Amino acid sequence: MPRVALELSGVVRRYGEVRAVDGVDLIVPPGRTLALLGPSGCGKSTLLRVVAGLEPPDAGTLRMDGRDLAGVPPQRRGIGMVFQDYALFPHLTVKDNVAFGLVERGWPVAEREARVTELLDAVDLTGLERRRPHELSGGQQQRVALARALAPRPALLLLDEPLSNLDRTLRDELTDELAELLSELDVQAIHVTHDQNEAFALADRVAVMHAGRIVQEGTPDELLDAPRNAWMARFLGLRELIPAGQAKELGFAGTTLLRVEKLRPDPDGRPFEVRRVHRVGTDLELALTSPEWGLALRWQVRPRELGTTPEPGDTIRLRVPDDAWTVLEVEG
Amino acid sequence: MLPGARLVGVRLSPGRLGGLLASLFLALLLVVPLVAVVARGLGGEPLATVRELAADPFLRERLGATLLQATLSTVLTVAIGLPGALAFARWSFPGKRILRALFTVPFVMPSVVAGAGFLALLGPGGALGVDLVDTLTLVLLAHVFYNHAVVVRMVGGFLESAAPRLRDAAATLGAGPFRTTLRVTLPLAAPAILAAAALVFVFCFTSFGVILILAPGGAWDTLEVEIYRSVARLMRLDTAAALALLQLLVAMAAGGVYTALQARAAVPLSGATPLPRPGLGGRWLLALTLAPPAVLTAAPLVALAIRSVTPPGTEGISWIGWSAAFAPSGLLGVVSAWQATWNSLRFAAASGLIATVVGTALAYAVVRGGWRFLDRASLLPLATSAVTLGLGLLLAWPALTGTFWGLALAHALIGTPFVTRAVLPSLRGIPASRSAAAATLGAGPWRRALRVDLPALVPGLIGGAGFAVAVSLGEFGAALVLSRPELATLPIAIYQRLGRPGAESYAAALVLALLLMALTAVIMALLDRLGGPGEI
Repeated sequence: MPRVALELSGVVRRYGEVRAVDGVDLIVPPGRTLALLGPSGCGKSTLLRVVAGLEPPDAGTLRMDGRDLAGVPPQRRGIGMVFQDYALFPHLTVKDNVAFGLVERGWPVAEREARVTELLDAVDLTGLERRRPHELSGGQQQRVALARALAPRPALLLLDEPLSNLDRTLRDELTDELAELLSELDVQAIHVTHDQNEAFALADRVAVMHAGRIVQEGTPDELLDAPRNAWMARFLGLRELIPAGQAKELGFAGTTLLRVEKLRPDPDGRPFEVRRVHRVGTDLELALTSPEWGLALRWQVRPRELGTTPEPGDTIRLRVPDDAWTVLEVEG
Repeated sequence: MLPGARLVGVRLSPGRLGGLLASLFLALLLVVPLVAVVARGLGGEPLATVRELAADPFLRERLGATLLQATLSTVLTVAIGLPGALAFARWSFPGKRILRALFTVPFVMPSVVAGAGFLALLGPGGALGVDLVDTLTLVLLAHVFYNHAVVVRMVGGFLESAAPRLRDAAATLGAGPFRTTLRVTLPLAAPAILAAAALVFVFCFTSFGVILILAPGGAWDTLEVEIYRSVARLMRLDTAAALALLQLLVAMAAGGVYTALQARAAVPLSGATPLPRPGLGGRWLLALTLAPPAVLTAAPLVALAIRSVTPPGTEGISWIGWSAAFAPSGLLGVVSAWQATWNSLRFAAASGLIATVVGTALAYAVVRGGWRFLDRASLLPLATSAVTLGLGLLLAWPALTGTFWGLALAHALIGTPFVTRAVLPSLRGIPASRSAAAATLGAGPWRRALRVDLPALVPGLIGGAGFAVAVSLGEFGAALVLSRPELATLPIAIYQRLGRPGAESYAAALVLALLLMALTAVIMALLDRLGGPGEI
């Protein structure tokens, strides 16, 4: 499979007054899969459409392997795309949908047939060749869309929330399946998703978008270890944030994140008051306040570690190691 | 069984009452009259009659001419309408809304007005200086004018909702604009194109007002016109019924094609995405595809306005048409503009009201009462041409002929499908849980209909009622058969004047046509403001 480097610089896309994409710089190294992660309306789908060539950027440049993509129509970019609603051709059978791009690229009939068979086999749809899209389940439609996009061997595959139309259980199942399939076929892909787990499961690198801009880009570990700012931390589900004012009183330079997973029971530790206790699976989740710092936080722990199950109103002591504090934004 | 249980069982829910009301209405005003036409057409010995009909050279010649005319009209209409439909679905451009509105004008325009407009443009002393009256060319032009909006709306509307996402998909798979049109857009639109063609065919096959005015010589008389001539001029009801039977068969076949395809064409595939602006080539393509229909749509209307104040044989601006149109009735044996307008408004109000009640009842019966067959049956009045309907009412209920309510009911019947079609989608769109919620809060079926359903139906209802009113205002065929002079509506008054010699009558006819057009335009503008049209 070909490997390409994609390079975006200063890409802007406006809809009237709204800047859906507001100056995006992004480099996808050859062979790396990327997830564009962000809340709905952050501009990630628009950015994907700009990469595909379906919408022109109002400013900025896109390069693929050094080649400027300006003015190159989508049909000549060699970039495949899986659409959010799949956009399967309702007048064509499964087989003809998958073969669509091969016909456009003038593949001989025999090779076309072989490629379609190979792909339908890869996505586990053998036997459904003659069906029409409306006769398939959502998961099957998604796989047809994937096979169709992959058939002409695109240099790069774009996936626009391909799993978001499916129900929760099916989605989890297919996330793994999709990740396996793409690595098996060795496809370089850019995923757009609003689901953090999906992004982390599918891609080597994750770029988080907010209000048309890339907030931070890195491996899942890098993002979780060092979120750039409070918005980013909150978006990643790290909730125990201490606002700048309060953090300063505690001696930190700005908004600070407390990593609750690093707190451990310790008779010599700091006192915390238990407000509520409930079970999360086999763990306990405690809602705690620190009278000392005026903080409220949630902390998960195995019951075994605590010895007894605390009651609301109890005080427990926890050790807060130095590395549990991460200063996010240093105020100038 | 508990006492009262049976009572609960037969309680009249809105759906059930609606079903009964709508069934009774359709049975008495449509089925019985059609049966009367068929019975009269077949006579005492059906088989012998069929053989006679099949061998009758006059019938065969009329059928042949009508089929030829309708086929040519349909092919031409699709040829001119399709590029426009593709352009509409492909791009957004300045003036699109205005153009779309312009293209809708003929759709709701009374056939008599269209006829008068083309007469003013291409008739004797017409604005273009060529007299094409009694030629096939003029008939075809008028039919294209009249029907190309059907193609643009049905095909364009379908593609606009379905195609953008699929075009994107095709582009990422390597298909350029031309290949995408060939491999995606056209195959996708095929059912919509065929459905539109079937509808256009029915309209042209049963064309009446246009033919009567633009080809009065008879060479291009449709079966519909022959039915009218047989009834009105000669009172030959047997011939009329035989012709009507023949016409019904052909129209039903085409109507069947339409309904079968329309279901497939109406499926919205995915949400609409904003359309791009055309590039340089696209702009040329747009101009080339949209200019001819735009000119064809506007020209007769402009000619109508110009010729109404410059009738042939007069110098400069002349108001003789205006004074003649508003002169008191009785003079020259024609009805005045005042009286015709009054009559038209009375019929429109009465029939609009009845159509709204019956049409809504019918939609209710289909969605809430489970009266499935009424869904299809509701389209029957559309498939039945106006003159045939008039003939049927004449045969089945002679007492209604020449009365106010006779024509009002006929117009109500013609208007009902529009109300039903407009209300159905809104009613279907109301989630079942909403009614259920109201029920758990203590609302019975009638209270639910009033407090939950009705508010959601208002936009559709207004749209449908407006359409029914517009249809009544412009209706010509049934009025010609069922009316009497004091009840003459505007279309009748226009036809009367056109049939009289002299520049004064001619100009007065054009003035009346302008008046009718203005009335229809006001209704449509109100509609546009107040509600949206449903599925037609």
